[in-house]
Amino acid sequence: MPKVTINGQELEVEAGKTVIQAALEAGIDVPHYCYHPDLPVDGNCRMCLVDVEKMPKLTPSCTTVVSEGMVVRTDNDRVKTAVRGVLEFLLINHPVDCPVCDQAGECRLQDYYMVYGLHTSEIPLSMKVRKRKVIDLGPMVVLDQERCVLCSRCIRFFDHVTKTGEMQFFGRGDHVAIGTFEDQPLENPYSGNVVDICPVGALTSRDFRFKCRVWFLHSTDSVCGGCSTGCSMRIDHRDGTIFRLLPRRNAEVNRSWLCDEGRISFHELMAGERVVRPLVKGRDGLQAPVTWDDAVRSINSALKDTADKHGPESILGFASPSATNEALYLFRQYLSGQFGASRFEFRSGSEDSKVTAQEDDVLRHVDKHPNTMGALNLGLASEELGGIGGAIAAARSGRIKAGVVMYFKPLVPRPGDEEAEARVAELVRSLEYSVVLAPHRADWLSDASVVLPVAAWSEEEGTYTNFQGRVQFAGKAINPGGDIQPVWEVFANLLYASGDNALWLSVDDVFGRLSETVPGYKGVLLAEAKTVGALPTP
Amino acid sequence: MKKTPKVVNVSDRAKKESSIAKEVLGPLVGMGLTFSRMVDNLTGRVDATIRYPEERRSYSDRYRGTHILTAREDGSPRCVACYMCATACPADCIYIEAAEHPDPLIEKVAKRFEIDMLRCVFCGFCVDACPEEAIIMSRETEISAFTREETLWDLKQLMSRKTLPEYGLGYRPNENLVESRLTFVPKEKVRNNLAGRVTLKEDVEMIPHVTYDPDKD
Amino acid sequence: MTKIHLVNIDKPGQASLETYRAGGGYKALEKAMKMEQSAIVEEVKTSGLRGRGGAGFPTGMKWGFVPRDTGKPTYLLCNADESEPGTFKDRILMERDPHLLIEGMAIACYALNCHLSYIYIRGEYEFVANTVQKALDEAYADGILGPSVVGNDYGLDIFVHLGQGAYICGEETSLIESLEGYRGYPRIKPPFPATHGFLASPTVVNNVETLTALPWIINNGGAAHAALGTEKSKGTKLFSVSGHVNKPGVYEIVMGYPLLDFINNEAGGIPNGRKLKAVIPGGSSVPVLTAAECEGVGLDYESLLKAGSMLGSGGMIVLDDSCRMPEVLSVIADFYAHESCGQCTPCREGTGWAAKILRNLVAGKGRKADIDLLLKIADMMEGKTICPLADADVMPIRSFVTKFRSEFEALCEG
Repeated sequence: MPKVTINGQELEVEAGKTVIQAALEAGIDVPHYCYHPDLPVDGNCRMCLVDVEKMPKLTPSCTTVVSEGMVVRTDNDRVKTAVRGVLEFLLINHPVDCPVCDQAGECRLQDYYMVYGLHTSEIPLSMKVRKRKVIDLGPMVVLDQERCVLCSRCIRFFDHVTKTGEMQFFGRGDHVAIGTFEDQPLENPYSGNVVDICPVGALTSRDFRFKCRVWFLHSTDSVCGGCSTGCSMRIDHRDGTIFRLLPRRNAEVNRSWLCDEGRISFHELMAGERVVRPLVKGRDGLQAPVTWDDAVRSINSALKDTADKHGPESILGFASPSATNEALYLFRQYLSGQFGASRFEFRSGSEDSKVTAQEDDVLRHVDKHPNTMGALNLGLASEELGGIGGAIAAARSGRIKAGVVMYFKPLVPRPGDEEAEARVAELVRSLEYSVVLAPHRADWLSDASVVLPVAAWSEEEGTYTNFQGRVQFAGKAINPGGDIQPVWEVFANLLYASGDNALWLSVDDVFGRLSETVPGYKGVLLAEAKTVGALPTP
Repeated sequence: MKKTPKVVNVSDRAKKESSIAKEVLGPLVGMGLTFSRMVDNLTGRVDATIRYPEERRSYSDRYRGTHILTAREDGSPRCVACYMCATACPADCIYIEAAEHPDPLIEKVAKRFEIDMLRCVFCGFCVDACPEEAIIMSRETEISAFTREETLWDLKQLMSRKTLPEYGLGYRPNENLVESRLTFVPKEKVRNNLAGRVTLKEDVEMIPHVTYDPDKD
Repeated sequence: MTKIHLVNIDKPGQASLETYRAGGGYKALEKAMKMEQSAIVEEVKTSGLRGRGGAGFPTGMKWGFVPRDTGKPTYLLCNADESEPGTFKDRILMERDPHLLIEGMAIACYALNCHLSYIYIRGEYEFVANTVQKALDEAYADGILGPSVVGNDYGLDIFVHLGQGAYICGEETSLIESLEGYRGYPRIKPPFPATHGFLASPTVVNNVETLTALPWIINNGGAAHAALGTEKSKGTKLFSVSGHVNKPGVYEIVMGYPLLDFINNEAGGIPNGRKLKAVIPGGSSVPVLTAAECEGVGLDYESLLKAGSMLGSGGMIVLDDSCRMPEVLSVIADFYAHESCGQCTPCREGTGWAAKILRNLVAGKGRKADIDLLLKIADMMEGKTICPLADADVMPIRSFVTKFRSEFEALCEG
């Protein structure tokens, strides 16, 4: 590995890496616009110029590959003057309309403008090149050509990542502008990514446009709940409302990208009425709100009766592949440990067969549940039942009397969702006694004996296992309020109330047990799962 | 071009400008003023007490009273919903919702703009933060109301200020940019009501707007 | 004076194969095809021939960089995208003597073991392209090109490609991008075209004038070429003279010929008895020389470099004392602002900014500070871009402003 000295700091860098990569990894800031770790190098912005010993001219650090004994300075006056000059060039034709620009607050141009203190413009307003503003580029993107620094990140994204090539430069000299041919809308399923990679406010999100200034937002690291890919993402929220979802870089899963469906999946979550209090069906056959304590007591006694009367095989656990690993583990622990139940199922469709099937060759997978792999790892697919059909048949024939059922609305809708939901409803109807855990209200919930209000995705922390078997941690962004409880906590309470000795106080406790006992989680540390995720040791 | 402000060292200036005449005369001038006020009061030329609220004192031009949202020439709000005021607000009393402006050169406009007058501490930070001179202050201080809702001032109320002429414009750092659209001359009766020490310093209009020539640097 | 390129240029019908052959044409190609490929490269190295497109890089050395064992084909591209203001030598060569170019290209292709070659002609030269295409058709019909070059077991195809009118495509890497069908953007070097050029294969890009020198070198030997000219500038050079001279046109002179003699004798002197004010010796992108600086300067690479300018492409623009230098510079700056491809920030914004300032100055709306601002912009642009277009704008700006500052200041007082 070549040894390189950057700003007097000696670094050992992997051969083939560029100077900017070496510097950024060592925590040395090199201003840049066109360089992006997941896009091919272009070298056009000229912001990352550095002084390399023995080179006559300043050289762009994004195109310079490290070599043994290289001595680089990013902080001397020569570099600073050059970068300042380039920045001034970028600003002369920029409208500097930060107050109305959504990028303000996370704009690299704004940041360096402050760092280099170029507050006084050398160019009168009348001399600026005017370009087009507020161009509608389809469902996800709004283009402002004036704010563009022409770094070509968006163009390279469509050329090299999606390989569809929708965007291109038009014009020449200082009249160059980015755009699509004849302003055709971007109907690419990944078009939202160009908004993220745009270092300035040229491409802004139609969905997030004008909704909130970014400095008001709080961020929580999470994992996308839209499909089995399990893209690392960040939830930006304020006052209990999710404003946007952004990709979090994870070289092993989604690099820096996120699909548009995943990006707007929170709207699905925010829409629809919630179940806010536990409901228990009384003698009159009508559900009435009760306290959690009463609900827990009634569930424990009802399930115990069933197990005593009809044997443990008469109890079904019907999980959801959208629940966290911790929730699923405690769910199984509760039913099998307390009542000896052995019949578990989670497939309302054919999730298990689709979990690794790709929908396209960028990110998306066919299975629209975030934790199908986790449900499989936890042994929640019963060979005997073979899916929800078998469970319904067993319930109808009386072999199964009682069941605990989870149902979460899919975040990314697909045709067939309604049928899947109808099958779950059918199952609930067929059971003599049913406990349903659901975040959102639905008509068929009135058939359940007990309805428990539970947290949905983003409201509960826990881990998800993606199609690779990678265990990733999603944090809690939103406090759902009301009597809503996280699923793992519901089962922790049920366990505690039914006399289980183990004390489940946090997700960490559950995960610790999970990684010790279940092969699909062996050796995974929660700290790893919280960053880019980790694969279990084989 | 930015002008470099002239730096004045106050203690240097004091030394330079001090003279025996000043040292002696200064206190005498001050005592003279005090004496004249005493005479005024004793002879009844001026009332020490005014009959509020029929009479009001005139406040400084920099007084921080209730807010005004200024208008464009066509009467639409100047506010571009940049949230700078809301960001600067220490009392968290400004609520804004933005919408698309039909003119792409303006781009953004406030669909909702509300100030909770009971939370407001009248610090004037919002005025300082505004890049558009869209929010300025008046010299109005009387904002009593019968219901809580009335103390939440919305866009319409912040823009159309019927009582404004009575009080006049307040804190607005870029004073020369803020111009009047209509000239309000207080009626003779009003003038008489406000006689005595209470005077209106200027003729004010209903909705101030901002004239700004972008080519003028 | 010895001539290499323009020997038969005035012969009627020279563009036809018949006349070209009658004048001894394609003898050099026949001779070359019997030589070893490496021997031709050596001959060119001996000749001291330097690239005539503007940069003056030794041709033999450029050929020597081409790897022979990559398993990929080698390409020779002829750069006929002659766009430098003041330069029109290649046009005359292609228009009047296209077979000379074809012969030169065939020799170069054989030397480089290249079987496919393109002539990239600027879009505005469509009529020239037609002439070249006609000559190519004749050459194919006669068996000079095609599967067996002049009867040898060596296949060679040459195609004409018309550009779309971009100055930047005269830069070799953007020429390659353009030829590949992309936007004409210069590429980042390294890798150099010699290893990763057209279609990521080894590629040599040579100027028309460079290639047309090859038949003479093969016929007379590299040493004979090296005997001409000065120590570092061998052979002859074409100069396209325009501006305030009595006889503007293309002239071939042996390197080292005195500049002032050239203007006064070959170009016929300055009309209307006016005095020489300045000379741009090598196309608009090189620094301007004042009349005083022209004293004793020879027309060769090293002498012009010493005088503070460059030989460039040989597009000489002569300016007499009626010229207003800020206006001249404004026109030049407008050209570069218009032709900047817009890829790198400093060039894209800097050329446009400088052009606007100059337009303002010329219109009498300038400030004194603008003159220093121009120099500051030049500093900010220089050496910070992928290709040399920004430098090509910097050199005239800096030389005009420093050498004729009083004229610029005079404009600001109004």
